[in-house]
Amino acid sequence: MPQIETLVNPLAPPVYNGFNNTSPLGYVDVDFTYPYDVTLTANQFLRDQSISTTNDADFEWRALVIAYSTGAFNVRFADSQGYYLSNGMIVSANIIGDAASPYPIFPGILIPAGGRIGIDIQDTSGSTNVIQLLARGVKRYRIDV
Amino acid sequence: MRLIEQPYITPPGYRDFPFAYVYDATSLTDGTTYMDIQIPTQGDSDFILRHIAGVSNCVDTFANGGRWNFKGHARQYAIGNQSTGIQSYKNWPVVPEKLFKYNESLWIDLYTVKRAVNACGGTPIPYSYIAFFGVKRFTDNQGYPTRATNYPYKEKLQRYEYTLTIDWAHFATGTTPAPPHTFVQVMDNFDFELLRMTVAQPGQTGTLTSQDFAMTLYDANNHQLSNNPIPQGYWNAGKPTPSTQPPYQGIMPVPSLVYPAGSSIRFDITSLLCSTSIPQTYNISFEGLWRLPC
Repeated sequence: MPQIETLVNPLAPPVYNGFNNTSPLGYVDVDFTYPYDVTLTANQFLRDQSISTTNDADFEWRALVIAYSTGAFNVRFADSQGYYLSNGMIVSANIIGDAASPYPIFPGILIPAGGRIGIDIQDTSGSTNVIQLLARGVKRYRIDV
Repeated sequence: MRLIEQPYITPPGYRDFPFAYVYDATSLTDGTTYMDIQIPTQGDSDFILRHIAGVSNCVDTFANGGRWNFKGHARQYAIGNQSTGIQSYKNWPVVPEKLFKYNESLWIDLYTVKRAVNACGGTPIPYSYIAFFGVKRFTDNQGYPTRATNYPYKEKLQRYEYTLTIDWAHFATGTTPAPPHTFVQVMDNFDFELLRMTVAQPGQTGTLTSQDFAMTLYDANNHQLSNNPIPQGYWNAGKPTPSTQPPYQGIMPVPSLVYPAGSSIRFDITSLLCSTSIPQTYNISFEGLWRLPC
């Protein structure tokens, strides 16, 4: 074994050891999360909702977290061009996760600055449903090279 | 662009040291919302933030209005909801890592604070701490080697099992906390690379899940790995049951640390126990690798 300093803890997950910078040339990626809060009445179906992204940077959407819900629901997402990411509504139980093990969006979906993530969402619990979704990813800032 | 899992590379000319900035929320008032809480860094290095543990011990449930937010180095929000915050978690990974330059501060918002406590009659013992885990990044001429071994070696699995008895309560007198007690585990034979720590009580089938104590760990040169004690659950890598993960997905130190032969693992223990609960005995397992000369 060479006499060098180890740089990582092999028992720790990659995020704790650190990821090398994978920002595209001319950009810098910064951790960011867009939340979506909604309260649905029993069986309410809301179409064409959206998470609006800010104007300062593109957003690469990499993961989804159902942060909170008081009941089951169905949901469907679309990218900034209105292109649906599924052919039907997704049952919330199929995309559960938490902040440390979210539902992955792979490959990441690029939402341009000032764009939107489209959402159709429907309560299936039959009661008032308080929901918070988190779109996790990175803001992609342009930098001088 | 894919996040390729290849070993992390510290930028040339720098040296990383595992560290956690711990915000002590025990003095906050339950039911109150606090905006722009500043957590200054120590001003000796850059800090790279990689995950945040314990927010859920500081705010109320989502249904009761408990939320949080945090900000980057320029006080720009890292979460899009600047007015109401988001659900709190035991562990919040930060991907990619966030750089806080020398002398910059960490900033958080806490909505509807509710401090987690250990019951103790009329004076509950709060363990509402938020730990910002990451690394201090020193320049090579400023830092110090913490992982080098100066002889050829091969690695062998090794664990040091430490029996810890806490026979003092959190409060020494009245509501005055007792000072931490210092313990050491001597490195008796070879250099030891510490990879993780677990805690259990004798006779229990799973790891310790209650926050009975907090720890400040030191490296071989007596440098603290956190600015405040860290509740045991935040770094305890043990599982409560075979099929469940460590509650806070804790592991420490990252990157690993080497304790040379003849040195010792020093750790200060802060009791979070009620006077009616003492004494308690725990087994702390320091897991890692011996570096055997070859």
